[in-house]
This record gives sequence, structure tokens and C-alpha cells, in this order.
Amino acid sequence: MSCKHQQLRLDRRTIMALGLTAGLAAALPAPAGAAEGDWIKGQTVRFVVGYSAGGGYDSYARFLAPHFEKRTGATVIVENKPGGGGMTALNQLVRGKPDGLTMQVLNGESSIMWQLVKQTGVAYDMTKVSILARIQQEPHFLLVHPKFPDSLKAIIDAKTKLKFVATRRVDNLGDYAAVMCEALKMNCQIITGYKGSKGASLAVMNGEADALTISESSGINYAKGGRMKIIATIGHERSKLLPNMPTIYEMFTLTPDQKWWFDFRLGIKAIGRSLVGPPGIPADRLAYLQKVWKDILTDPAVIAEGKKQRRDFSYEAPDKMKVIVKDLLDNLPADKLNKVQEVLVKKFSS
Amino acid sequence: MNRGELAFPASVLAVIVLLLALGYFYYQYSWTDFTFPLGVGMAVCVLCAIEMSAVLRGSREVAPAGSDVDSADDTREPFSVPAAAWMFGLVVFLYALGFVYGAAAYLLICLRANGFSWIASVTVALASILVTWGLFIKVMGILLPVAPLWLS
Amino acid sequence: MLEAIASAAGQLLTPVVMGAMLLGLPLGLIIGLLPGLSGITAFAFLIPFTFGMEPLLGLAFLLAAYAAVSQGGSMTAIVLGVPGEVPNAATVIDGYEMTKRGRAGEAIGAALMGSALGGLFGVGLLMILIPVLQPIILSFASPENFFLALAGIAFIAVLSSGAPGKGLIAGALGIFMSMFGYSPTDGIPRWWLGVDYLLDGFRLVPLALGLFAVPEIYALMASGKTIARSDTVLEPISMRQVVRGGLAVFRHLGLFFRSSAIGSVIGIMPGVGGATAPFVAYAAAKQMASNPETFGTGRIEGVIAPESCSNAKEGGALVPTLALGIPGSASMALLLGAFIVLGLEPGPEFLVKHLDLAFGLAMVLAFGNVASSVLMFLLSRFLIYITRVPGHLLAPILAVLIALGGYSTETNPIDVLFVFIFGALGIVMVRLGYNRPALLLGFVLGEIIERYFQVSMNAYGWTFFLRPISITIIVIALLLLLWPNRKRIMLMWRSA
Repeated sequence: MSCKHQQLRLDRRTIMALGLTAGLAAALPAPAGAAEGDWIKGQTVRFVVGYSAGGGYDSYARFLAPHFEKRTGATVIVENKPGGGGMTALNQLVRGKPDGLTMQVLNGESSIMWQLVKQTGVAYDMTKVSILARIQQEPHFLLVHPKFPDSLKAIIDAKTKLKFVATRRVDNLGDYAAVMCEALKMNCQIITGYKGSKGASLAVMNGEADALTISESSGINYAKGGRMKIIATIGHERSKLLPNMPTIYEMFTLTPDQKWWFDFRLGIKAIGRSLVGPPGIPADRLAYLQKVWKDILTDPAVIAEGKKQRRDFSYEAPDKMKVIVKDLLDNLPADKLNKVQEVLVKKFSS
Repeated sequence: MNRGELAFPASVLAVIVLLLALGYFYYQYSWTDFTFPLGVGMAVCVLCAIEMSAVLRGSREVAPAGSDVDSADDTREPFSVPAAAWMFGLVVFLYALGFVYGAAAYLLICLRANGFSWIASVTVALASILVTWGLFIKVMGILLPVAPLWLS
Repeated sequence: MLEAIASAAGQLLTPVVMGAMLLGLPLGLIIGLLPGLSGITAFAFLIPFTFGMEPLLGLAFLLAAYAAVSQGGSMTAIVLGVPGEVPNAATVIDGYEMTKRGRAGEAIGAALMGSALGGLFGVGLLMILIPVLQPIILSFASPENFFLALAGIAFIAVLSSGAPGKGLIAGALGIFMSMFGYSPTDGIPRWWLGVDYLLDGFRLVPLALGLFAVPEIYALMASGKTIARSDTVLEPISMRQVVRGGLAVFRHLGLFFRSSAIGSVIGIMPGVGGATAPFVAYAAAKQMASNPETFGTGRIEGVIAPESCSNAKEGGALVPTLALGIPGSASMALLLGAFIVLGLEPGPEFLVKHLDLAFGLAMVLAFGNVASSVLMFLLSRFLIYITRVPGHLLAPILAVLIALGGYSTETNPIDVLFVFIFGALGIVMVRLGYNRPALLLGFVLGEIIERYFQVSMNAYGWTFFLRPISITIIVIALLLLLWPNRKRIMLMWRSA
């Protein structure tokens, strides 16, 4: 299939070259009435997922595939490419052909974090990647073992040592803990090495550790049954699922420096679960894809269907996200970057 | 057999020493990352050295007949290079022709070379296409690479 | 509780639900018979079919298929020496030997009966424990995981008692190989040499397929003979062999209960790799048997132990999945996904709100185990025929099948390359007498040991072993290890 595509291109180029040199009408004229989506109709599009079948990202990809097929006339194949925690798939994606036929359902937060802390193996640049849309993002919660008081303020004032759990330092569990501990000057220890967020949460449930920072959907699940309790929302706004839980911003009067830390991490969170393509997709194709995704992700019918399967959508436009990514990766001053790397990777280690 | 008996522990020892040296001097792994591999690696090296000295002294452990070491029959037959070539050759076919046609071509050629009739070989090759294309790709949705792997 | 059980039975015994289960069974069997494809593949493939189904219907379908997959995997392990899933690698050791000596039917019968009863045991235990599930799971923390894995390492010595030096090398090499890729606590990839694939180190499925399947296929290719050696007098193929094998389980009831108990316990603990359970059961069986050195030549106990253990383990793995929403194994993680898609939420509330559903699932698993055994029993004649197929025909076909299976796990062609790389290692190990199960066991346990040692040290400090359950595990492991030498030890103790 890709071979045929290449052949066509070659022919066009040859014709164009001939036309130019002969001084005739230069470009091959687009057939009259060509719709903007013609290039994708009937083609095979690949949704790459950096995790094994059955996980959250995979199910989002499989949920969205038929909707994309309906709107574009393309055939969608979902490709699972696990490895490196999702990093390998992105490494491969950015090396691929920028023809608009391959896109990845990406863990945007992790991808940016890894680039920031210069994780071994990162071979992509998020500032160059083609951003198509944000699918979803959700706030984080702070959960603690029930033996602790309900008030985060009380815990901090008592200078109680809190043992946080994580799988690695930069995994959407440990890094939130690090940011919170640094900003609020808490007495923290971050224990890494648990197998998956479920293994980590089990450690808090059985008392081996004390606290966990995790996304809203998982957090609410774990808090059921009373073996862990949510005591704060880490987000600019309260969670819709738990509207009575105040945010960090509401609980404390934050100094500008403290505010910077939370804004920084939540700025990365704004990338959330997103759709990206390789750098260099031609502008017209990119615009088309972005339009299609906007249609799909803001369609009330799609959102309602997602609700039935516990899939939540919160679309954000690609240009907004591009600005955030640039701010985070390019415009961060060197000393701040060093501090960030130190806090996220080294500080609070056991 | 004596050479083989010696070569395996020797190679294992050499590779592990190389990896440990790489880890310590070149990659400079931290103690958290290096303690376990170092400990285990050294244990393997010591065990290999013991085994090698036992081989050299001629006091090889002869596993009693019928131990959990796989049956002695296999070890007494000489190593068959054609058999190994046929087996590992599959990788070459899959790489060169993709999983669907590569598997079919492999079966066709391998069976023919081992004396089976054209009819039998072609039938099996066609059946394999039914399994790879039909069952794996179409029915189960497991995307076996159809195109040759050296193209991507 | 009784009315929950009754309610569950009532919901299950409807034509639609029974129909869904009977549909899932053959699908699971086929997936299981294809080497390298496991329960995870079955779930990944079948879950989309269940969208929109009623929860019990969808789950009955999935669990029935899941129960059947491991049966299929056991069959290829016995008949072809190719483990269908990683846990089946333990069955290959004695099961395939029995096949080579023309006793395939007996091995099949023992495996089927062992797994059916083992599955029932696991499910029965699950049902008994449902009221007290949560406290049990919560009392197992990182130190317990560490000591269990450490005890597992000790079994490597047992496995290789025929040639201890070589066995220890194999085991230690396996542990070393598990250290490639990301380190558990630091997330620094060790020895990835700039190759993305090696960021995660070596993978278990290519290792198991390569170590166990490739040498057998090579042997077939080299000799050209049938699997069942024609120099032994071959019984005419009949079901009598199979039945005899099935009844053998009842002659080894102690072994059966021990193995099932090992499987259930390991299954309940979410941290310890399920792949180790059959090997531990095998090693324990060897340890407590008469003439342990004949293990590996076709002892039927070597088939009963791993088979009953793996199926009991599945019932055990369902426990943390249902009780806490924490998957007891990788396949359970997928099953959790299915739960959520079907509108359910396993977790602490699940057992309160849906107790009848929990019992229903247990019953489906039980039924699936038994029914797939029966189905496989009916097909066993066909399987025995395969052992009479000439090697030069069978070998290339098997080679293709394991290449497909190796690819399917993570749709990564490099996995297939490693199947054959590890295959070369396997061939060398067989020819030189190094113990392959020991290597596999070391590989699985090495990562667990390092991970939970570091976590335990960080969470508790040096005194992490001073916990009641940890100490119990150490004591039991020591007892099991020293059991064959018990007379000598008693004598020494008395004379001291």
C-alpha cells in the first residue's frame, strides 16, 4: 500500500518537473471540485498506541476509530506498540512518514516530562511534533491512608513524614508528589519501584506507605471502600466528580514561587491524553486532521456514547497546546530547568 | 564434547565480565542500579569458573540417567548443521518476504527439500497462508507484517 | 451468602448465558493451541465482542474462553514440547518426555484431570475466602513478595539436583538476564546499548518459547522421526491411556492438594509472578517424591503438579481482582478493563453490591475448567495422532507457529528474532545438560527479588523481615527444602 503511494508521488513530481522545464502550467491542477479530505478517503490510517491492548489508551483509540472512519472514509487500524512505557512508540512515530496517515494516542504529560528530565532513550522533540488535538485531561487527587487527619494543612503543620508511592520518579505519580512536596515544603519520602499504579496504591492500602498522588478516575476508585481517602485536589479547578474537595490553590495562600511549581506541573497536565503525528505534516493535511478531530471530540453524541463506557472527553485546540509545549520546553530558563530536574528526579529519594 | 563443555561457561563468564565492566566504567551506573547485577554477575562468574575447573580436572558432573537434565539421547547425536540451518532459516524468510509469503515460501521449500511431494508442499504452504492471512490478520486482527521487513 | 450463591446459579443456568460460555470455550481452546498466544491475547481479541452485552453474559463468555486457553496451552506443551503459554513450560519437562515414550494419552489425561480439579480447588478456595478477601490481600506487602520470590530461587537448586553446578549457573544466569532494561526503582535502563527494544530488557514470552520450543523443533528437524519414538512399543491410540492418566491424579491426591495450594497462594498475591507458580509446584513435587532423580524422564507427577497449580492459580488471581480492583495477573488486568467497559467496577464495593455476580464468576471459571477439559478429552485422540507425524513435516510447521506466536504477544518482529536467539541458547543448554527451567525461573524471580528488596528497604528499613507472614514463609520454605534430608538432620540434632 505505501509502495503504491510512493509511486504516485514520483509520477506527479516527474510530471511537474516536465511541466516546469517546458514552461507549461506548473503544478498538476487539482481536479475541479476536489474536497479537502480526498487524500485520506479509502486510505489506511494507523492509530498507534504505546501500550498493550486493553489499557486506557488502547480503549480510547478503539473507541474513536469508528468515528474517525465515518467522518473521513478511511480505514483505521489500531496498532499496539508497547515498550519503554510508551516512549518507544513515540520515538518510532517521529521517524515515520509525515503523510498524515499515522497518528498516536499519546500520554502527552509523560512525553513532555521525560523530555524535560532528559530521560534515557528519548529520541523525539515535543516542540516539533504535530499536535492534532487533546482528547482528555483530568485533575489529580492526593490520597492518604485513613490514619492521617483529613486536613492537609494539619499534616504539613505537624511535620509528619509522608511516604509517597510511585513506580518511577517521573510517572505521573512520583512527579506530582515531588512538585507538591517541594512547593509546600513537606517532609516527604518518595518510594519508587512499585509495579504499576495498582501495586503502588496497594502499598498505601496496606499501610506500607502513606500517600499517593494519582489521576481523578483512578483516585476515586481507590478511595472507595475507605482504605484510602482523598484529601486534596491538585488542579486549577475542582473535580466535577468530587466537587466538595477543595484545590491546593483554595487550601493555601501560595507564594509566587509555590504557585509557580503547581502552575508548572498543571501546565504539563494540560497536554493530557492527546493525538499527535510526526513533524512535518503538510499544512493542508494537518489542518484537515485537526478539523476532523475537533468535530469528533466536541460532538455531543460522541461524548454521550463515551459517558456510557466511562470515557470522558475534554477537547483542547492544538494551537493552544503548542503554545504551552513551547513555553515548557523552550522558554524555561536554565536555572529553573536545573531546579526542576533536581526536584523531579533526585530530591525526596529514600 | 570437552570443548563444548568448556566453551559455554567460558563464554558466559566472558560476556558477563564485559557487561559488568561496561556498566561500571562506561555507563557508570549508580549503586542502586549496579549492586544487584554486580552481585549476581559475580556469582555467575564464580560458578562458571568452578564448572570450568571441574571440566578441566576431568571430574565432570555426569547427570545420572533420567535426571531432570533432558534425556541423554539428544546429547549423544552429533550436531546437525542442516537441521539448524533449516530452523533458523525461517527468520531469513520472514525478514525477506514478510510473515505471510515468507512463511509460505519457507514451508514450500523446506518440505520439498526434505523429500515431500509437490502436492503436499504446496498444500501446506497454502494452508499456512490461510492461517497467517485468514486467521491471524483477518479474524484475530493481529497485524502480521505482510510486507518484507527490510522495506520499513 | 447462600442466597448469593443460589442467585448466581440461577442467573447462570439460562440458555443465553450457557450458550455464551459454550461459544467462548472452543475460541479459547484454539487460541490456547497456538503457541505463544495466551489468555491475554484471548481477552484482547474477545473483549471488543462483548461491548453492549449484559455484564454476566459478557464475563461468562470471557472467563469460559480464558479457562479454555490454558487447557489448549497444556496440550501443545505435552504433545509437541511447545509451551502454549509461559506457565506451560513446566509441563513440558515431564509431559513431553511421556509423549516421546508413547505415553502421550496418559499425560493428556493427567493434565486434563489435574487442571479441571485444580481449577475447582482454586475456585472453591476463592468462594470460601470471599468474605475475608480484603484483609488477606492487605496482609501481603512488599517484604512478603520478596521472601516468596527468594524462596522460589531456592527451588532452583531443587530443580537442578541432578547436576547442581550447571543448574545453579542456569538459574543465576536467568537472574542476571532479568536485570537488563529498566532498573526497578531508578528507571535507568541497564545495558540497552542504544537499542529501543532493549529499554525493557529481555521479554519473557520469547525466552520461554525459545528455550523450550526451539530445541524440540530442532531435534525433530534433525532426526526426522516422529515425536513418539518408534523404538518403544507404541500402544494403539485409544482413550484408555487418557482415562488411565486422568485416574492417576486420584492416586496422587497429596501431591494434587499441595500443588493446588501453592498455585492458589501465589495467585492471590498480586506481586509475585504467576509464571513461577508451576515451576515451584514442580520443584516441590520433585522434592517430596520418591526417586526424585527420575523427574524429567516422564514422571506423571511432573505433569499433575504444574497443571493443577496453574489452574488453581487462576482462581486465586481472581481474588485481588474482585476484592480490591487490583489485578492478580496480567490477564486479570485486561479482565478489569472488561469489567469497566461492561459497566462494573471491581473494588471494595463490588463484593458488597454484587456478591452474587462474584460467585457467578467463580462458577463460570469452574465450569469453564471442567468443560474445556471434557472438550479437550474428546479431541485428545486427534492430538495423539500428531505425535505420529514425521518430524520433517511437523518441524517446519511448528517453527512457523512459534514465529507467529512470538510476534503476536507485542506485535514486535524483534520478539521473533529473540525467540530464535534464545532458541540457540536453548539448544546449547540441552546438549550440554544445563537446566532450562532453572534459567526461566531465575529470569522471572530475579526482577521480583530486586524490586521488592529495594522497596522493602526504602519503606521499612533493615528490619523489614521482622513480620509474621514473612517469617512464616521463610520457615515453610526451609522446611520444604530440608524435607528430603529430614532423617539426617534429626539424627544430627539428637546427637548434638
